[in-house]
Amino acid sequence: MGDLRRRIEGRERIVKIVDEIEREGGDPFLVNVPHVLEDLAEDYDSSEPELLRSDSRAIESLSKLVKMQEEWVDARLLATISPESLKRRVEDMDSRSLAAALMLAQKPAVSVSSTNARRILEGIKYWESLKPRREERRTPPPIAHGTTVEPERFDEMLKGFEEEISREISTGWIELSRIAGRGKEEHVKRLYMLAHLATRGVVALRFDPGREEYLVGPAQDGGGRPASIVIEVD
Amino acid sequence: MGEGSEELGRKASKMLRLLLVQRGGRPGVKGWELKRHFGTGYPRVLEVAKVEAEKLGLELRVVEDDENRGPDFSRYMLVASESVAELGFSPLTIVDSAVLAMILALSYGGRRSLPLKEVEAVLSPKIPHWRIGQALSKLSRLGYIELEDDSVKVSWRSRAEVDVERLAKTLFLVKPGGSDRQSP
Repeated sequence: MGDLRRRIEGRERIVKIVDEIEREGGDPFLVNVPHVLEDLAEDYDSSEPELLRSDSRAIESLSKLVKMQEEWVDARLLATISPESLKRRVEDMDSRSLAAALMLAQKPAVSVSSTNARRILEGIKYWESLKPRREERRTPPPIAHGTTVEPERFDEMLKGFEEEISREISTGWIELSRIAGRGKEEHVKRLYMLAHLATRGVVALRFDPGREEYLVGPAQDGGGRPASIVIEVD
Repeated sequence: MGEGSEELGRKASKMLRLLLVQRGGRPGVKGWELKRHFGTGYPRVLEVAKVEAEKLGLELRVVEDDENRGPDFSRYMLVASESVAELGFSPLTIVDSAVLAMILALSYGGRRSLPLKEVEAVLSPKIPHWRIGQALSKLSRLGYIELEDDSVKVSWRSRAEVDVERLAKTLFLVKPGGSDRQSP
C-alpha cells in the first residue's frame, strides 16, 4: 500500500512541476521526459484505478511540457535568425529546398469560384474567334525512295539536261517550276542536276519576290554568290 | 437589444458563404463589403463565423491594408488549417514557390520593398532568367507580391497565407542539397 502511495505521489509531483513551469515560465527541460515515461511504463500492467488516474494526469502534463519545449526551441531558434543570416542561408539553397520550406509554412486560401451560362458562352465565342497559332499539322507524306544514279549515266544525263536548260534560258530568265520533272522522283533528279550546273557556273538562280519564285537564267560574268537554298518539293 | 444566438448563427452562415465565394478573381472580402451586408455589428458576426469555419477545417485571416485604415479596409479571407505540405496540393508550382520563398526571406526583418535586381541576382543561379520573370508576373497576378517599377513588395495574399516566422525557421531546418532540377 505504501509503495502504491509513493508511486501516485511521484506522478502528482510531475503534474505540480509542469504547472509551475507553465505558470512561472521556467525551463521546460528541467524534467527528464524519457526517464519519467520509463517510470510510468513500469506500471503498465497495473489495474489500480487511482494509479491509472494519476498516470493519465501525468501523461497530460508531459504532453504540455513537450509542447512548451517545442515553443522554447522555436523561440531560441527565431532569436538567432537575423535577416543577414537568413539571406546567406537562402543563397545556398536550391530551388526545391526553398519550395519545400514554403510549403511547410503556407496555408492556402480556400475559395469557390463560380461561373454562369452566359460567361461560358462568351468563352466559347472567344475561343472560336482565335486564329490558330500555326497551320494545322499534317502528317508528312512518307519519304520517297532514294534515287540512285550510276556515275557514268549521270554524266550523260547531266549533259542532256544542260543542253535542254541552255535552250530554255537562251531567251532569258525562266521560272524554276518550268523545269519541273514528271513525278517527285524525276523532279528531285532534275533539281539535283540543276544544282550541279549552278555550282559549275553554267546557270544562275535568283529569287523574284514579286512572283515569290526562283528564276533560272544564264550565269552572270564572274559568277554569282554561292549560297545554299531550300526548294520545297510537293 | 442584443441579437439572438439563432439570428447570429444564421448571419454567420451567410458570412461564411460570402467569404468562400471568390469575386473578381481574388479570394476574400473587404470589411466595407461585410459592413454593407451585416451592418456595423459585422465584427461580432465575424467572431461566430470564425468558430464555424474552424469546424470545417478553415481559419479566418484578417489582412490589413497597406495604409492601416482600420477593419473596414482590411481583407477577410479563409485559409486551410493545414499547410500546403500536409494538404498535398499548392496553388503554385515548385519554381513559383521557390521565388516566393526567396522574396519572403529577403524581406525578413521588415524590409518593405526589395530592388528587383537584387531578387533576380539571388535567384538567377538557381532558376533561368525567363522563368523568374514568368514566376514574378504570376505571383503578382495572384496577389502574392506587388511589382512596382524596379522593386518587389510582399502583398496581401502572402501575408494571409504564409507564416513568415515559420518559414524562417523551416529554411534553417530544411536540409539543403536536394535536386536543383527546375520544374515547370
